[in-house]
Amino acid sequence: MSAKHRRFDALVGALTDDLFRYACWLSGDRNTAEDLVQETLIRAWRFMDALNDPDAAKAWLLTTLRREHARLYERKQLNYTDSGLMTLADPNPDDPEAHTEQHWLRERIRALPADYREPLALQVILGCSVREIAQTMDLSENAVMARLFRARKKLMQGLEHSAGAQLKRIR
Amino acid sequence: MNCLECRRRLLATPQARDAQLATHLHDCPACARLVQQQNQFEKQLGAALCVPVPDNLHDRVRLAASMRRRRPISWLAMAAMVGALTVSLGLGGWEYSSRQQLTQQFAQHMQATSAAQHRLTTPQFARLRARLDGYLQSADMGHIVSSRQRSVDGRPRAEFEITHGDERVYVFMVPDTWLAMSHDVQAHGMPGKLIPFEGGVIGVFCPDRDMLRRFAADAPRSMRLRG
Repeated sequence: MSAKHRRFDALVGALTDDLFRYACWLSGDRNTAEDLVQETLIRAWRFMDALNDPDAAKAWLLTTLRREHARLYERKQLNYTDSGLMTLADPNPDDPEAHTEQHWLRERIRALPADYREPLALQVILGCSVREIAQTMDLSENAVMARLFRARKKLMQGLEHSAGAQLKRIR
Repeated sequence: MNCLECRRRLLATPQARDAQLATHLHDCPACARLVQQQNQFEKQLGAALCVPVPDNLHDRVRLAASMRRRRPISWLAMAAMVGALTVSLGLGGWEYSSRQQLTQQFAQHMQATSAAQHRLTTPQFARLRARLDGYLQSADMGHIVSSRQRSVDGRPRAEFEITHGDERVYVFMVPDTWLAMSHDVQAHGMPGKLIPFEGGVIGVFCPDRDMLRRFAADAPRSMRLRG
């Protein structure tokens, strides 16, 4: 196996899962996400010689995936389906409450505007810094900070309302 | 740092901690409680965003990449392929026409065997006759009854007529002619073979197919004609 093959294998092993999760939240569809990840990594293979730095590779992959998604969106208006997205593994299958909360939270994340959802996914799933998100999304760092703040605020407020409603139902 | 600024920072970048933020959290119990709540929320958020990945995704990506590793055919390669195809079609056509022409000529020569005899003046043909004679004797395949030298388009060629029992065998030797491969042909209903060798073509016609096959397989080597 050549050095190029080894580096590609390492890249696939390290980033495919997170890229897929990000692509899922970006496109809202699991099948589309799979295609996006595949296309992105195939492009990475072609430009493997230029992707020596792992950090640069991650940024390059994210930019490429976003571009592929935009191209896909240009070609056809996707019919978003969430049936696949919601079929998720339960991190704690013994705790039905956790499962319900997670489902609820997932719904809320999906309901966020894409402008808020995307930086959140980049930060939480891929561990991107504000600067990296700003570069990927071609925004200022302040704009990214504002979007992250609003995204979390909306989700937390929703969580509080939901908890309040649950308490009222119990009383 | 005030509480508003602290909360903005916490909600935007929950993992980031600097000295200013740490000082404020130390001094403000309300914000410190918020940090605890937010840690819990971040766990939930991480789990919610963690969509399960299809089992075969890694393999699918690796397979797709390996398929694309084969480079697409470039225009240059395409042009070379078209060129090669054109040349091979041209050669095929040329081969067909040479084969037809030779067979036709051999058929005419067979009918003209009673024409005036010409001695083999070219040393190459004389040597060839001796070798052919030797082969026929050793293989018990008859003997040469006549040999002629003819000029076609200014180029000499040799003809040998052989008898083997009641059978008649005709052998034609045409130097400076090129064929890419052996061909089965017919002249006056008699099966024959055109066999290329280094520097020319040998034509053999014999009514007995087994004998023709044996002759075609052994004679060129015995006559020291390299294929």
